[in-house]
Parts: sequence; structure tokens; C-alpha cells
Amino acid sequence: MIDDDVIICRCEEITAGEIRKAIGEGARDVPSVKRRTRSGMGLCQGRSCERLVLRLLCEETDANGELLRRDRVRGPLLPVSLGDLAGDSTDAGV
Amino acid sequence: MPGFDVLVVGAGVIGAACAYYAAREGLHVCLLDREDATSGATRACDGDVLAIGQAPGYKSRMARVSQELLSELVSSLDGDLDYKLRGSGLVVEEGQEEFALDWAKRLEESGLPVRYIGRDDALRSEPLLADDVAGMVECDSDSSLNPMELTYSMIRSIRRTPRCEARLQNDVVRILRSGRGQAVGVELASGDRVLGGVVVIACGVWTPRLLATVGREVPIHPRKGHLLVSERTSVMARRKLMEFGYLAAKYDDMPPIDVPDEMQRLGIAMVIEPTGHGNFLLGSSREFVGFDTASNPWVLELMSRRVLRFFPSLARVRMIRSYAGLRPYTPDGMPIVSPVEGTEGLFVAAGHEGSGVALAPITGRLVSEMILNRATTIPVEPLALGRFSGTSPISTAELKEV
Repeated sequence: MIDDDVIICRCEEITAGEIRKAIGEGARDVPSVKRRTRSGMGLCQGRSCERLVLRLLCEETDANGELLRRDRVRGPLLPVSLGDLAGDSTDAGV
Repeated sequence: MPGFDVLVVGAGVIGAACAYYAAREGLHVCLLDREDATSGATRACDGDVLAIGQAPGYKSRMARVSQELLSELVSSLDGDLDYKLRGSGLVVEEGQEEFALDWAKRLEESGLPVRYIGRDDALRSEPLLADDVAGMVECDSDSSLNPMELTYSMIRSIRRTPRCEARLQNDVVRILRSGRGQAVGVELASGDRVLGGVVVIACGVWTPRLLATVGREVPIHPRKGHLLVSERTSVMARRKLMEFGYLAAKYDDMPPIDVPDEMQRLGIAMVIEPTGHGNFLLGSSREFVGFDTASNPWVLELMSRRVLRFFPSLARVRMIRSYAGLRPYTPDGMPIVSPVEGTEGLFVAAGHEGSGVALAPITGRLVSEMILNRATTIPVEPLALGRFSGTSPISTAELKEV
């Protein structure tokens, strides 16, 4: 059992207690925990907290973690500068 | 099985507002959703409460009334909504000044605190803007908040109200009618029934599926949009800013922006918005591609280029995430907030395209007034479902050309 005051999402400093509260209000998968708490919205995009969030979901709802929806993979997969995303920076004025 | 006075299907910002205002009137309400709350457009939007981008006239007045309701709503809810009355700006490029001045004048005549400022004033208030912009249309009454928190707060309030409930993870598959054609409840995927004398369908882009169960067509189509999320960073823009050309991507009767065809086809237009947590949202796009919500790297690239045209100094700011969602589009750009003829007690509250957050309070209020047969805060004829009757459903091929 993870104590309520343990930080689960380090980027956004979200505790196990906050995640349990979100589950109590209706979150049932990783994306809905994220929307209710910001867990996974930070710089690492859930790389460190997703497994812990899944564990809390399983503990609180008796769900099977293998079947729970995880966060969708979306680019950019690492922090990327706006200039790089825009492609050729000399063309940035388009 | 106890019956409710009102069932609201769809726990996005619109459905939550409909249920919240009905509960406030003392009606016994049950809000239902097949998933958690905010799992449709409300999870994928930005936090604007804008009147500046609404067509001057009925729609801009509707947005203004909604803003007034929102400030009261925010003060009566718990939760950290990040509500900020920061105003907004439409950034005008050379060649657009005439249209922008006319837009500002018409919005001002409709009662909004709007003005046009020239280049020097625009650059003073937003120092990172490209110095070749022509000016800016500003609106002081525009605000921003966290739309998901707004929804959750309304749901908490509903749950605290006696004999009102929010049942999430309850998948409504059918509207139930009596032999006399009156709405009497809904059926869930589990086979269970929830009974209620009034049924409000607020399912955004999924609204047509439920209305089909009573044989009604509703012209709501998914119009996809992307946003990029920046890392937490120093202030890039002090308030919501959009390029004036955004209106051309949204409305058919505005002159198109001078951008490559590919950008026009994807409805690319610059928006930038500060959030309550120090991240910025950058966009935008607008396209008809069915129910696909994957992030398209090509769209992100074009959006990035368009943002850099207006904010060249942001080239080194890092993006950490993108997301995409589906706006509930209607052919005339107006939402549907209306009873459904032929099924007494059935209402639709959907089709707000990109303005669901801005129009949620007035939508919730209007639905309550219609349920209770009261005089409405604003006229509801322009929002009636019946305005589309007689028109044939739009084909996907036609939509792609809009």
C-alpha cells in the first residue's frame, strides 16, 4: 500500500492521495487520472508515473492493469523545440 | 427503480452545465456518461471563454451573456478553476486592416468591450510579436479557465445536491419512448434502464448516434483540431492571442489568409494561450477526417511554422506534447440547443464547434428554462434543431471542401 503523501508524478508533484481522490470521483484509466490530476502532463510525459498510476487504479478498482487504457503515444516523444518541429528554420516565415 | 426529473447524457462541459443548472432549479437530475467526465471534446480543447471570435450579432451576444453567467458560476463552485479575466487579441496582418476594423466595429455595436489598436500599441502589450504585424483587435471581457476543472466542479456540485446523481461509466445506447412518443428514459449497454421525464442529449460529436434511436437526423460532424503543449516557460503571450485569419479558417464568408494551399486545406491558423500552470498551448488546425484523433506530424509542422511567423523568437521553446480532438461542427456555425419535435421531453444541447466552454453556462441555463417552460434569457429560435429540417444530410465529400 502506497501512503497518500507519496509523490507519484514527480514532474507535476502529484501524490497518491490526489490520484486516489480522482479515482473516487470517476477516473478509471490512465488518461482520465491525468485529466483530473495532471499526473503525466509534465516534462517526462508519464514515463515515470504511468506504472504507479496503473498500480493505484488496480488497487482501488480491482481492474486488470493489462486491460486498462494507457496514455496515447503522441509526438513529440521528447521535448522538441518549436523551430525543429517547424522543419527548415530558414523557412519559418511561411 | 426511482425515476428522475431530468436525465442528461454526456458529461462534457455542455452536459455538466445542463445538469448543473437543472439541479440548481430543484429538479432531480441524473448525469450519465459512458466514460469518465470530459472524455470527448472537453479533454482536447483550450480554456478560452471568448466572444472576440464569434460572429457579430446573435452569437457574440450569446457569448457575452455566457461570460456574465460564468463569472457568477465560478464564484459558486469549489475547485481551482484557474479563472482569469485576461482579455484576448486578434493579431492583424497587413492587408487585413479593413476587415479587422469592420469586425471590431460590429462586435462593439453588439455590446462587447472591443477596440482596434495599431502596430505600436500591439507590440507594447505583446513584445514578442513579430514587428511586421499591422495591429490587433482586443476584447477585455474574454477570459480563460481550466475547462476540465470547470466540468468536475459542476459534477461535484450536482452530487452534493439531494436526489441528484452523476453516473459515470454508464453507456447510454438508446432513448426510450412511451407509446405516445414521449421520452421516458434511456437504456444502457448493460440492458439496465434509467427513467426520467426529460432526456437531454449533450454528446457532442456522438449526438447523432443517440438521436438516430428515435429516428432523428442531427447535422453534427466531427471537425478535428490539434494543439501543441509547450514546456513551462517564461511568458510568451500575456493572454489568448489568435491571428485574425483564424476567423477565415472558421467562417466561410471571411477572406482566406495568404498562406500556402496546404495550410488552407488544413485550416492552419496561429493561436497561443497561457495556461494556469505555466505551459502554453499553440495551434491550430481544422479539418474533416471523421473520428480520427491521432496527432498528425505534418499538421504539427505546419502549425509550428505558422506560430513562428507571428512569434519568431519562440523557435527555441520546447514542445512536450500534442493532442487532437473533435469539435462538434454544425453547417451554420451555431449550436443546437433545442427540443426535438416529435418526441416530447427530448432535448439536444450540442454542436458548439470550438465554443463549448464559452457557451456552456448560457446553454445550461437555456435548457433549464426550456424544460420549465419559462421565458428564455435570450431568444432560442436561432438554436432550434428544426432550422435544418428539409435540408439533406451533408456528404463527407462536401464537408472536406468547406
